[in-house]
Amino acid sequence: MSRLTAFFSSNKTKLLFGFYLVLSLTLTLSYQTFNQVRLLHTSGGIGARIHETTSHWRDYFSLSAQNEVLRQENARLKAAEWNQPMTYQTYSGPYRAKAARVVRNTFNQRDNYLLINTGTKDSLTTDMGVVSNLGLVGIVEQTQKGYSSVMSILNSRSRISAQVNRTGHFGSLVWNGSDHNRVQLIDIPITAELKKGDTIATAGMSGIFPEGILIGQLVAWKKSADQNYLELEVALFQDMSRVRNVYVLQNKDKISRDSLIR
Amino acid sequence: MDQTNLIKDLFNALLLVVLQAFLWNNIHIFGWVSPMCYLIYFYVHPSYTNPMRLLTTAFFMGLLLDIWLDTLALHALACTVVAQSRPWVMQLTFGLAHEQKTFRIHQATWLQRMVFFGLITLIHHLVFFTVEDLSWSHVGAALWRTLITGVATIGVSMLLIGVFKPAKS
Repeated sequence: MSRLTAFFSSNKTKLLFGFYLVLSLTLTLSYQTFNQVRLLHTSGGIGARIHETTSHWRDYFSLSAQNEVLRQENARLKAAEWNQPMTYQTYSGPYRAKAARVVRNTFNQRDNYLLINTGTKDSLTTDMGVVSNLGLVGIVEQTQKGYSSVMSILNSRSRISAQVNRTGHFGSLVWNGSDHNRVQLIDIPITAELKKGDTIATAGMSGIFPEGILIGQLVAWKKSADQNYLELEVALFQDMSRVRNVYVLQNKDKISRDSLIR
Repeated sequence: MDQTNLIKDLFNALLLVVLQAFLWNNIHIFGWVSPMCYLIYFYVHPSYTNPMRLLTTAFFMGLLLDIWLDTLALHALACTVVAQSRPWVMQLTFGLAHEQKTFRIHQATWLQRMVFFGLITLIHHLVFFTVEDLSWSHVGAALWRTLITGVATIGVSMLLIGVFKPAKS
């Protein structure tokens, strides 16, 4: 017993180091490996409220820039309304949009998230799509009463079906973690005839996003490691470091659609 | 470390966490690089303190940042490794001089201080970015992020250390 006590006494620093090391590794790897719900998430409580306050002040100093963004969006919507008045006036599709504000956004980590100021009280649930006026942003991962966390498209676990608009070839949109202005569209057949500048948009396969939401522009492509597919480099339309106002897409047909797929 | 120094040390840790969360994390050099200047804590921390206390402060300092920044427990992990390896880094950089109670880091040469902070930053960033992206296919990206963020961290931190260095007695 005395030898055991002496062992602990002489190695207490190493043991404490080992304890903190195992604890922090467990907290990190359990999420990365087993896709568990994040324990250290700030999607609620005091953290979210502080994020909202700081975001509010940041927004105050960028009002003119935000006004310009909304003015341009309004112009696009007006043009669409004038070109296709019947579509807008008699719209009966399954998707509804709920406006939200980004109170926190990360874009320089390997796994990035956004925190938005709408939650279960606004009928938000997990797996809802989030878009901005310029394109795709992410998917709702966790919801609480007043806030939701959104898995950004700049996340190693994000896989969204997307297509090349001109040719109709579709694949999975992923992010390799190197540049926050570019994502990769993988699993595109090698026979696809691509052109630089082709627009990439959602394919609407999962029911999370409707077909045709813009993502970005094709800037380069190469063969995949197994030589059977193409990997496309896509420059995003939405600058992910400047996302402020977003829309959460609610697909009222998703539950019945998912039950058929299962 | 007496009671006054302990309170001062905890205050330093908390202040650096707040500055990291609200200030340095909102600086985006080249559009995406945020310097991790809270590592200054390991620079200003006295060399002769209880290592268990340093480990505990470092772990919780990292954990607070993790909760705020949604980074799982990556900061806690990297800070724990830095706290454990700090005596070794001090030995390597300053030799036996750092074991004396009268040793003050600002009395060391500019090169020694730079190498010391550089090694602390390198250890922290290597742990942080390799564990953040546990994949052999992304080792290059992790090393690149370590290098670029490291340069930003060392640059901004040494500037701050230079501006706020104590007056020579």
